[in-house]
Amino acid sequence: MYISNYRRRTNAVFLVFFLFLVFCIARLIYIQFFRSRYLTNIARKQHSLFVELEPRRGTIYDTNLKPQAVNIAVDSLYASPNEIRDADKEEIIRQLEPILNLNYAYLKDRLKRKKSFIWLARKISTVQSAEIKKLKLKGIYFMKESKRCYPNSYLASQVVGFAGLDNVGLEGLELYDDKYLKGESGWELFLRDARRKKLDIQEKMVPARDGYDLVLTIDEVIQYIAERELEKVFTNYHAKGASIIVMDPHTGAILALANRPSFDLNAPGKANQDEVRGTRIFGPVARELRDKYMKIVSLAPEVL
Amino acid sequence: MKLSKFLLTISSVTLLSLLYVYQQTEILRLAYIGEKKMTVFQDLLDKNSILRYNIGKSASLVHVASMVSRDTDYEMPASYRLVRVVTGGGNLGSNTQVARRENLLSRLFGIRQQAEAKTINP
Repeated sequence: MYISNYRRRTNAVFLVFFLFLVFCIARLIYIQFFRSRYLTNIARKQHSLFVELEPRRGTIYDTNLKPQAVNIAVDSLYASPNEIRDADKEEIIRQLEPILNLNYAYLKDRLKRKKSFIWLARKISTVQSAEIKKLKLKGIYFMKESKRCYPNSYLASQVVGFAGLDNVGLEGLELYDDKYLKGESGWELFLRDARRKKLDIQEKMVPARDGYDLVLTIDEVIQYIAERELEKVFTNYHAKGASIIVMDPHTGAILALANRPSFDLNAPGKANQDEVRGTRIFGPVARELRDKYMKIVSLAPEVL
Repeated sequence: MKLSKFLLTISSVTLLSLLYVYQQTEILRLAYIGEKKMTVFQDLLDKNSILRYNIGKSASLVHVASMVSRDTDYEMPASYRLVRVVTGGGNLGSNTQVARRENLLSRLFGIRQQAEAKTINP
């Protein structure tokens, strides 16, 4: 009696383990043959990092290859509100407010949202960036972005035009030659470690194609002299508007092209409609001139 | 299969596996180092581009002209400030004669009794 019970128990234990083994094998077969693609995708997402490569926007030069519009790398500030405790948010806002010159309500609204990524300020200055980095705030991060800058501020502003926050041309030649200047973005697939930190190992890569540089016929020195004289006339006669074109009579190349009122290309947001209006005229004119020099003769009376 | 042959096979497979693992860890270690160096390199490149831009902006005509006009008193003289310098002895003599004649007339009729000068910065 005792022996038969013992055998029965042994068989029962064996059966349980055998069933468990069968279940495990069945599960493995199911995972291997039916769920493999789905799980491989998840695994790939976890240990791979997709990074979009931003192309360098083409530089605009004058005829002597002096840059009129260049790109510089600046920091953009973003927050991950989910990582910040509610008690710390007030302190963070109080510290960021004077540095970023943003109002309290705006920052509070941004940090209040339940998101893991939200912009706080795009393309901030290096001084602002350094000050915020010193604070070492939790849940506040930086991202490198390319900013369009104009070393000559108002010089040839009506011709060059300007690009927006996303480096897309909005006015002047920046707009009309945007397809040449912007280039094509690429991408890279990096490996990530267990802490989701990027490793310098590329799995796949499609390099970005930088935008073409643009060389104008405009001469920076002549442009400056023309604008200086135009400014004098504009101020003396209290005119509503004034324009000047300097051409090389031998080739028809435009050496200077200016309009008043003008605006600072580094702060286009402060310009009013009258000041920006000239870019819609001079941008296409200067573009047309590259191919057909004499077109200015017919265009000038119509547009100026 | 003999035991010695089996052990040899096992040992070589283990060695190869260990070498493979070591190779992989080395790749990751170098990747971490590369990532750090790349960050520093990119940071320096960014700083370089910012400095270049600042130099370009400071050296631009617009900036230089604004600095010159703000920090110095230099300005182009107006026409009334220009003085014509006459060379040659003959002309000088005739000029002094005219001046003497004017002085005599002015003394007699009292047209010009005192010298007048225009200030440069009134």
